[in-house]
Amino acid sequence: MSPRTLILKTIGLFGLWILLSGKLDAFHLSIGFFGAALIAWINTEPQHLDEPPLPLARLVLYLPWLFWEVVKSSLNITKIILDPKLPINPRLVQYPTNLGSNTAVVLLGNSITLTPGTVTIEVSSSKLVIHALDDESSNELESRSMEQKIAEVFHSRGQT
Amino acid sequence: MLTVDTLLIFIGLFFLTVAAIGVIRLPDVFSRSHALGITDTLGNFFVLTGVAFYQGLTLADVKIFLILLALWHLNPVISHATLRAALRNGVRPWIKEKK
Repeated sequence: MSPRTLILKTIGLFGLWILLSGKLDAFHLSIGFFGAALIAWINTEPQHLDEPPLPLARLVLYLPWLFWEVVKSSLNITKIILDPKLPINPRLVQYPTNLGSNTAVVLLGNSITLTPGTVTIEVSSSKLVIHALDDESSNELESRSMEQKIAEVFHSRGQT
Repeated sequence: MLTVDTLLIFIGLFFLTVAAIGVIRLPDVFSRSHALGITDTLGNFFVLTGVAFYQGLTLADVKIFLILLALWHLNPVISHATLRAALRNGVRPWIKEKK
């Protein structure tokens, strides 16, 4: 690991320490600094991921959209549970994907699970097996809007 | 008196209750996990924001935010791991019988 990443890790962990402890006297700051430096030094394994760096800015823009989707489907599931007839129609959906990068597939699987009504059960780089609770959830899944959004996050505009 | 913090906490408790009812009413492990999805997201979100408002603007808000962030990362992984283990051990999902 280069000294630059070591220093960046130390600064990041030290910042987290300050936020969590909330104490700014010399004793706590020095303990935090040495702790952060020690942890950063222990974690010097090089990363084995062959992945391009995350497009952080576009990822941050994706999160509010995801949150809104989660709210919508939560309300849908709430309605189903409180319905005396319990109108569910569970099924397993095979969901082939061509997102390519593993990071994107992980983000897709996690987003699908975070959205109530759909849970990712099996995942590989080209296919997901998803359990959907009702028709609305599986229709939402079939529309592939989530996959499109993630493709937009991971590719520049020209490619998508 | 109804203030913003108590209102938020009560909305959160409503969603948590709905999730608990869902766990009882839904037929199998796969569909029950969907009910838990509501606790993950809306239930915890409203309760924790309510607590944040109750606290006022202190450093505790940062910690609450970190808890929320951790929950949103961990809960999908837990549901996924549980259901994958269930499916691989031969649990078949409940399917509505055709009439």
